[in-house]
Amino acid sequence: MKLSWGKRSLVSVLSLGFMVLGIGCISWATYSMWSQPQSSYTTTVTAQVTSAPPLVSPAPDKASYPVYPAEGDNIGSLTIPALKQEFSVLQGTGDVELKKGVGHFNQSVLPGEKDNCVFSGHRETVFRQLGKLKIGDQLIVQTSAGTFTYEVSGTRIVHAEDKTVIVPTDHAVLTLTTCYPFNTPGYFPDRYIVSADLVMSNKL
Amino acid sequence: MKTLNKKKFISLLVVLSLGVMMVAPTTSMAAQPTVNLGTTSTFVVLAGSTITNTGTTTINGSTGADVGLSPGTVFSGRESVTISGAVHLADAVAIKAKDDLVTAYNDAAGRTPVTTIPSELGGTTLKPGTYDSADGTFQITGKLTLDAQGDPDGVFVFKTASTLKTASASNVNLINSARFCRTFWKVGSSATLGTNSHFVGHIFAMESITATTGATVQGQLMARTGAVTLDNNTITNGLCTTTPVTSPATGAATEVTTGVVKKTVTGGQLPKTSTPLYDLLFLGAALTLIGVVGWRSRKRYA
Repeated sequence: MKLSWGKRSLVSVLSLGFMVLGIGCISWATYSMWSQPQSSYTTTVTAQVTSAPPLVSPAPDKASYPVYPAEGDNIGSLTIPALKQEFSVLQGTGDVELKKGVGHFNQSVLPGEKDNCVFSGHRETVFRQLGKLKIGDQLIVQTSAGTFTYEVSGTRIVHAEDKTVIVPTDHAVLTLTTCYPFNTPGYFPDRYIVSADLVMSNKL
Repeated sequence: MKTLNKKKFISLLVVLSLGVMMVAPTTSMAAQPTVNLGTTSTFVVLAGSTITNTGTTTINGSTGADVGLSPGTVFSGRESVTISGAVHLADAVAIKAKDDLVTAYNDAAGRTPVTTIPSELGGTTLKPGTYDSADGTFQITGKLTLDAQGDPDGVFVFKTASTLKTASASNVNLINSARFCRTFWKVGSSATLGTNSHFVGHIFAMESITATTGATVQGQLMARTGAVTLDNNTITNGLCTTTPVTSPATGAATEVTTGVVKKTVTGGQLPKTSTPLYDLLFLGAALTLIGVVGWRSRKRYA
C-alpha cells in the first residue's frame, strides 16, 4: 500500500510539531527551574560562623521581632553553606511565596525563637539538593532579629499527611520540609524533613 | 507489511499521547476544602415556608443554635422547643442566612469529581469525597460509616437529585477523625430522617426536611423553599473546634496569620512543595520522542 505525498507530509508535519512542542516544554520547564528563586550565595556569610560552635548555647527565650510579618513579606534569608546556596525566606507557604523562595510556615514561630520554626520549599527549585544535607551541616538564618545558626540533627522521610513534624519543641529547632521523592513527575506522596538545632545566635 | 507498520506506529502514537495526558491531571490533586456555610453556621434549623414542631424538641449548639425562617413566618409548636439560640422569623438575619444557604447549596452541588455509588448507603464505609447515585437518591438503612482516614479536614459531600431518606433506627458513624462539620448533604428535593435514627451532617435541601419521631441530628437542617418538620428531636450543631490542621495552601489558616504566632501548632499540615515542572519536562520528553519516532519513520510511508 502506498501513501500519497499528502499523507507523508502530514506525518512529517505532525512529527515536527510534536518535536517543537516537546522541546518547547522542556526548555520552559528548565528555564523555570533554574531561573525562579535563584541562589544568591556569597562566601562572606559563612565568615560569621565560628568553626566550633558551643554545643549548649544560651538559646533565646524569644527573639525580638518588633513587627510581626504579614503573609508574603520577606523575612530574611536562609544560607546553606554545605550546598553553597542562599535563598530569601518569605512569610507563608502558599503558591505565591514558594515561587519566590523558601516559605516560613506561618503557624510556626519565627527563626531564633525557642520552639519549632518550619521552612518549606519546592523540591524542583530551592530545596532540590536538600537530600545532600548531612548531620552537622549548618543552616544560617538571617532575619531582622539577628543571625541564627542551626546544625542539622537529623533527616527523615514521612508521609504527606504526617502530623508529627509540625509540632512544638522544647528548644529552638529549624525544620525544613520539601516534597519527596525529589524527581518523579506527578508522584510525591512523601515529604523529606531536615531537622536542625539552634547552636548559635547573634541577636541584633 | 507496510500497513501493519503504520498501524503499529499509529497505535504507539495514541498510547504515548494517552500516557502524556494522564500524567498532567495527577499533579493538581489537592484535599477538598470544606463548604463555606457563611452566616448559616449559627443556625441549626433554617426553612423557607414553615417550621412545624410536635412534641419536645431540643435545639442546641456550641456556637449559637439559631432557628430561622424566611420568607415564611409561621413557626408552630415553638412553645415545646428548647432553643439555646435565637429565633429569626423573616428578619434581616434570616434573609441573609437564606442567601448564604443558596451559596452553600450551589457550592456543594458543584463539587467534583463525583463518584457514583449505589443509592443504599447502609452497611457501607466511605472515604472523604463527593458522592452521588445513578438514580439521584440516597437511603440509609442500618449503619453508614464515614472514615476520614485520620484527616480531620476530610470532606464528605453527598449529592442527590431528588430525595434523601433514612430508615428508622439508622445511624451514621464517624471514624478516624471524620467530623460532622465536614459532612454535607445536598438534597435536590426533600430529606426524611427515620424514627429514632441518628443522622450526621449539614443538610441543604431544595424543598423540605422532615425529622420523624425521635430522630437525632448532629449538624444542621436547612431547607431552601419548603418546611422543616420536627417531632421529638434533638438537633445539635456547633462549629468544629478550631481545626488543629489547617492547610496554608487553601487559605484556611488566614485567621491565624493575622495574630502573632507565639507557639508552633501541633500537627500542622505539611505544605505542598511540588510544582508541575517535572511533569512538564516529562511531557516534553514524551512529545519529542513521539516527534522523533514519527520523523524517522515518515519515509516508510512514502
